[in-house]
Parts: sequence; C-alpha cells; structure tokens
Amino acid sequence: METVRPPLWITDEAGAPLLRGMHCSGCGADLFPPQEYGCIRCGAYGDRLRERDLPAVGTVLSFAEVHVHQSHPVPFTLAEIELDAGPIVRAALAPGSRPRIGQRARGLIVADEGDARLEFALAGEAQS
Amino acid sequence: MKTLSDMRPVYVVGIGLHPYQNRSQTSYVTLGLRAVREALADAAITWPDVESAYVGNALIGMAAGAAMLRYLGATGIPFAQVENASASGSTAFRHAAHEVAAGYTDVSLAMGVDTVDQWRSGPAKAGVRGLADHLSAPFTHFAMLTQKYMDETGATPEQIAKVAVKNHRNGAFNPYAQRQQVRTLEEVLAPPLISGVLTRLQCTPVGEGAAAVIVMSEEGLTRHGIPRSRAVQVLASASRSEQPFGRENGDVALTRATTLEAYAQASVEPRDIDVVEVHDAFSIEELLYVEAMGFCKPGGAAAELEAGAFDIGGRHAVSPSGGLIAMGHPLGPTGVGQVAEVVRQLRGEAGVRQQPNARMGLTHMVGIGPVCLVHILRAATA
Ligand SMILES: [Zn+2]
Repeated sequence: METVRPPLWITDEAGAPLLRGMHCSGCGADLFPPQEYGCIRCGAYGDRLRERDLPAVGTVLSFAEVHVHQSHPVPFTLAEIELDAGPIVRAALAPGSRPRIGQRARGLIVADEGDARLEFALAGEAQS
Repeated sequence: MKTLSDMRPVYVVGIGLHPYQNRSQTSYVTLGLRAVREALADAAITWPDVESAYVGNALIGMAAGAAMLRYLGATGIPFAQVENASASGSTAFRHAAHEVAAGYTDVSLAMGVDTVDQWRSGPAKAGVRGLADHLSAPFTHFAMLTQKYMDETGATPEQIAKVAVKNHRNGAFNPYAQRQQVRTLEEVLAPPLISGVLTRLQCTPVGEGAAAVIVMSEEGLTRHGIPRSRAVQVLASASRSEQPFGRENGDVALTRATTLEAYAQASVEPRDIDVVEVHDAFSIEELLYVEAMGFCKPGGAAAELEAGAFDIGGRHAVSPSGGLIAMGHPLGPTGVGQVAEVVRQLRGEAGVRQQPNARMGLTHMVGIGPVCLVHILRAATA
C-alpha cells in the first residue's frame, strides 16, 4: 500500500521549479526525496529533519535513451543529475535532448493535458 | 567480529542443480527436489544425514521451502527460508557455512529455488518515491552506468558487448544454463536496443531453476567417509550492505568493500583467484566488478577482456558457467549455483569448461538493498 504524499516539487515566484527536499540538522545534509523516517546518512529523525526546497539545478552524471517500457511512450531519455544542493536525482530529460556527461541541466515545468510534470532541460538547448 | 578464519574448517562436499530454464509449468517443488537429490548423490549421503537446511528464494512465498523439503522425508531438522533479493541463495549458503563452522551442525544444506512469479517490490512499500521511479528499470540503471563507463574509459559498445559473447560461449557448454548457444558479436549487438547501448543478449534472461550444496565439518567428512579430494574448503564469507558511497555507484563501491573483506579473511590476493563467478546481470557489470575486485587496473577491464584475460584458460576465468547472462538468474538459486560452479571447477570436474589448474575460486552477488556477498573457496590439497 502506497502512502499518499504531497507533490515532489513547487514553483517559485518566477515559475521555476523547486524540489521539495529536506535538511538534516544531525549531519547538515540536504536530502531528496523527502520522507519522515530518518536520515540515511546519520539516523537523525523527528524534528531534526526539516523541509527544505532545493533548486532544480545540477549536472548530468549519466543518461540513457530508453527503448523499452511497459506503459510510457518510447524512446525517452532518463538522466542522473547531481543537484548543486548535493542529492543525486533521476529525471526525464526534455524530448530531443542530446546530453553529454558533465552538462548543466535545469528543471522545467511542462503542461501535460491539464496536469503538469517536471523534466530537465540541458544548458544550451532550446527549452520547449 | 569473528569470521570463518577464526572458526573450524567448513567444506562443500555435494553440489546439485535443476537446469535454469524459461518459465514453464514445472512446480518449484520439482525444481528444488531435483537439485537437492543431485547434491545428496554427489556427496554420497542421504537426506537423514542432513542436520539443518536453508532455502534461499525471493519470489515463491511464505513457507514454500518447508512445503518442498517434506517430500525428501520429514526428518524434523531445523530449517529456515532466506530472502535477500538477488543474493538470497548466497545468504542461505553463508548461514549454512557459519552454522557448520560454529559447531552447531556437521552437515547442512544450502539451496535456492524460484519460479517466475509476481514481483512485489518491498522497497516500494516504504512509499518514498523519486521524480521518475516509474520510468526507471534495472536495465536503465545499468544503461546509465554503461554510458558513464564509456565516457570515463573510452570503452566502445562493441567492447562491452564482448562480455556477453564470452559468457554465451561459456554457457553453450553448460548443461545447466538457460542460454546454451554460442553468439557472435553481431548477434549480441543486433537491434532492438533495450536501453542505452544495451541489447537483449546483454541482459540476463528471466527464468526458473534450483541449486543446492551440502556443507560439512571435518567431523562430517570423517563420519560420512567423504574423500578429501572432492571436499572444497570455504575460506571466506563476506556480506555487506549500503553505506553513503557518494557519487560512486553503490554496487561497485559495495563490491570493492566486500571483496576486500573476503580477501582479508582468506589471506589471499586477487592474483591467487583462478575462477570467478560475478553478478553479470548486465554486460557492463562484469567490467565494473572485475576492476573493483582488483583483477585488472581501473578502466582496463574492456581491453583485458578483449585480450582474453577473463576467458577460460585466461588469467582469471570469469563466469565460466556462463554467468547470469547465459546460465541465467532465477534469483534464489543464482548464488548457490555460483558456488556449485566454483566447486566443480576446483574439483577439476568442469569438462570442456575447465579452467586449467584451478586452485582458488570466488563467488560474488549483489542484490537490491544494496547488499553484496562474496565467498572464497579453495581446492583440496593434491
Ligand atoms: Zn543526517
């Protein structure tokens, strides 16, 4: 059974996405994704874990163009991105992205049939 | 903390398998019983001689092990089912070996059995979700590692695919392998792509099967008249789990830490290891792990593999069984099947797959967690 959770991102005044992470006062780490169980690095829990919004900006560590998926249209490109705040996240890249390892990437909100989703766009590539 | 090197010696004296195969209507009970009976026959003992049993599996469900072993004749022995993701069988083996080494029993069984069943993810029940969990599959995780490895080392997709060419060639001569067909580089590289540069034949097949081994103490060997020449000693058992490894891939960092611990327990070095069974569920893994284990220098595995260093007859025979790519990866059995292959090699009974003069072997499994188990085994002194 999956717990219902709030969205993983919000937008700032300028419309740029912020990831809803958390900060551990036990070890000083910023963490993503958020959870209330405890810090994976140091074990701190309870009020030593606080919400902290992290800029969706980072560097591509790796990527793969995926050709097989049971429900999502293929191909699409998934990337591993090290946020400037520290955590490593996996996210979809904007369609048509031609990534290189080490390239800068920034989150962007895409309207999706009345809903909205977060993907990352590469520095120097046109944003949809 | 105590290790096997502080305890009384423990030996593998019997091995048995049900061939790994595509999903079928065969009951897991049939698969499991065949492996256990083959292991008992190999050790030339009978089921009432066995004093405890551990059954590794990841999918078949609660109490399935008990509902299988009873058909060997219910002897009332202590018994447990062991789950540790892909390393379930390796973990069952570790517990059986420790039980004998500690002196609780003289004869124990470790086995693994699984059928292709519904996969219910335990970690998903924690309800902690990332941005793109629904888009990420194991093959994409390893496709990203492949991309990173190519970027860092300059290795080509063709060089990486050669892992699968080698392991299919080994599996072609293993009657227990799920894939028993020699494949050319062209066949391995043939479309369709699965994810990144990974093709179907560079990914382990999903399947079913069983594997079993009998472990004994010195007292057990004597009591049951086991010839020393066929008793393979378990020198080391190392088991580790996740730590904050930072940017390095968790499975690779964990493999390095666990293997170093096993080398220290056994007082051996990488160059002493003749035969290695690695967790090569995806071709890239073999290259990453043999580097992490110290069988070649960092970034050098693709070129070394191409030059034959990891072939049967090479410096270290890596996955002479065919590995997870060709022998298969039915989950529960896999880690026990690795031990069976290394024992067969160290007894000199591997036929056309025999690594010449194999004296020392190593088995390696990683699993979701991440967890990692490494065992080192040594041939009987001639
Ligand atoms: Zn912390």
